[in-house]
Amino acid sequence: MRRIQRFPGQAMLIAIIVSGLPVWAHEPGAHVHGRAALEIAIDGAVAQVNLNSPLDNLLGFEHAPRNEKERQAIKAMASKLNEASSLFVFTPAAQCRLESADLNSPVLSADLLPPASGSGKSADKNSGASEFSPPASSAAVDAHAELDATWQFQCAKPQALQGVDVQLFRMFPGLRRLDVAIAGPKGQSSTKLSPESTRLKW
Amino acid sequence: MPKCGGSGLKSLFSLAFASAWNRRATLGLMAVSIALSVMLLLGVEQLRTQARESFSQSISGTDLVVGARTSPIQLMLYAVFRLGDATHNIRWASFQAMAAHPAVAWAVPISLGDSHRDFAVIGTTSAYFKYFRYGDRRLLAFAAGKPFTDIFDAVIGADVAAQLGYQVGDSIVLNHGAKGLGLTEHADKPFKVSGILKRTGLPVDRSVHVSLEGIEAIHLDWQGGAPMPGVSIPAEYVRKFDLAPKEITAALIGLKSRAGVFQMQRFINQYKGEPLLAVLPGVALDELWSIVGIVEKSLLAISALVVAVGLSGLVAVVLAGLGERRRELAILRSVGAGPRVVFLLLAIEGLMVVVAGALLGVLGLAVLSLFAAPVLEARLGISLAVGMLSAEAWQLLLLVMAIGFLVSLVPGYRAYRLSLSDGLTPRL
Repeated sequence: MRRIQRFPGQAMLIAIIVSGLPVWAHEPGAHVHGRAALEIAIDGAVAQVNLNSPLDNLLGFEHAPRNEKERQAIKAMASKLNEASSLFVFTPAAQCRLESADLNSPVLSADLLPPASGSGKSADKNSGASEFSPPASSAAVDAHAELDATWQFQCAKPQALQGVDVQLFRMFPGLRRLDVAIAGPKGQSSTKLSPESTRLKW
Repeated sequence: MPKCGGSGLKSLFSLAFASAWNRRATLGLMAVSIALSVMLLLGVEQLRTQARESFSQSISGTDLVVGARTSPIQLMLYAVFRLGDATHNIRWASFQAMAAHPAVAWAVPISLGDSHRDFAVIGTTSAYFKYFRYGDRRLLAFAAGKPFTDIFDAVIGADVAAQLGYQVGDSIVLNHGAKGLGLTEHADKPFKVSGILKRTGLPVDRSVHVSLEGIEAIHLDWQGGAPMPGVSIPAEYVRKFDLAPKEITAALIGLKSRAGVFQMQRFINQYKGEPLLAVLPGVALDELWSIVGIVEKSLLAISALVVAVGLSGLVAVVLAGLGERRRELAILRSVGAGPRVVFLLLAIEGLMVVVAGALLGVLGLAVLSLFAAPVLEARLGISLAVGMLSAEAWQLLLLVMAIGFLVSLVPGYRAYRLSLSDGLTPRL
């Protein structure tokens, strides 16, 4: 390992920074109830939103349904998530329309998570080079499970698009905090949302 | 005698100034202490905003930064700002796999670890000069010469050229590891300066750029971080060896479409070959600032307290001086000045000292940053714009002056009460 020596000032700066390093909630593998990761990418007229949340935030449990009540709860969750226009309220002038919604969870079978009506194709494009593959499901081992949701919006007037109001907290009271990463026309940024502050601007 | 009209106010100001001039030593010292506190407050504010700006300017055109799995912030610090060390390298094969991904528009490898004098040496490819963007999506420009083409070519940053006096065509020797670490030199394989970059205000200015093959070549006859005893491969023979890099420290990646950035990030984080970490530089920087923000806020709070100490010192000095000035105030009363005029006089005096102190502070800060800017840039890679106050700094300055005026109403009110009770004959 070749090394570069630091200046004393740098060492101090790094010490300050590293001493404050928290565990990043949206690191791969982190599973914290109450928190979820939201990613928003805007390119031209397309806005793509991805939510990765512990199932507990959305459902109250993290396993395959064991009775009819739990089945109904999953269906209710799926229909709320499929109605993404009311979950993500973009700048009205931009006229953004939901194109597709795709829900995925290792413990819930696909028939419990039907695609949004009118969207035939999946928004998920996980079909890259062969070395890259989705992680193996560890749900059975640690009894925690997550839901991965991807929505795609198409905006008629993208130049008017300035932000989005995230209504997930109102729909899912189990969700307390969202770690948001944005890749937008003005660059990348990150922020946190809570039930008290739900607006994103870029 | 002054009444509260237009010309009356003007003569009140000149009267207040003349009176203050008589006590210029005390009030002058007071203005200096306010100047120092304002300097501290604005200095902290300026450093805070400009550090943030210069960090975010450094990587404006890069979609993803990739390195070995570590904390996202640590990766950003060593890959982009050359602060700290990498814990692991990444394999060249992993870099090639990423670069070949259909979503990737360009990929620039970065290999760190060697140095030249005080400056970091970066092994990369000529793609670095073609794709690395900073600031308002600007590309690196050459002040002289051209990108490296030969194995032993080097492109140097503006500071390297200026501080060491290098010209295109000069020969330089790289050191293994960093300065001051026993300094094993790669003296048998000198590099030739092929180009000098224009000043950017980024860590690039303090870097020596060479090809990845050059980095491999100087380490051909090395093993375990030291020259192999009895083995020496002369520079003219290195071309016969396989100079394909085996490892790099990090990679900068640009994508064809911004929309794919999170998918690409996931692909890299789940790469099977070895544990990799991809970060969105803008996102990692925001996370960094959300941590540093606590330190920033406490620094700002401390400097605000120092300003408060300065202002209360001012009130104390003016109040203490009142006792000695009762005769002066009585004379003013005797020539027809009402208690209200006395009140205004004192308030104006306080305001004058605060404004003078604030302006002196701004001036002092400008002079100080003139001297501090080169040091800050060299040590921390923060470029400080000299003499420019941000909108927030102006707001702070106005706030200080407003509070200064408000607190100088206190001695004004005291004088008002005194002149009512004393009338024309103060009992001294």
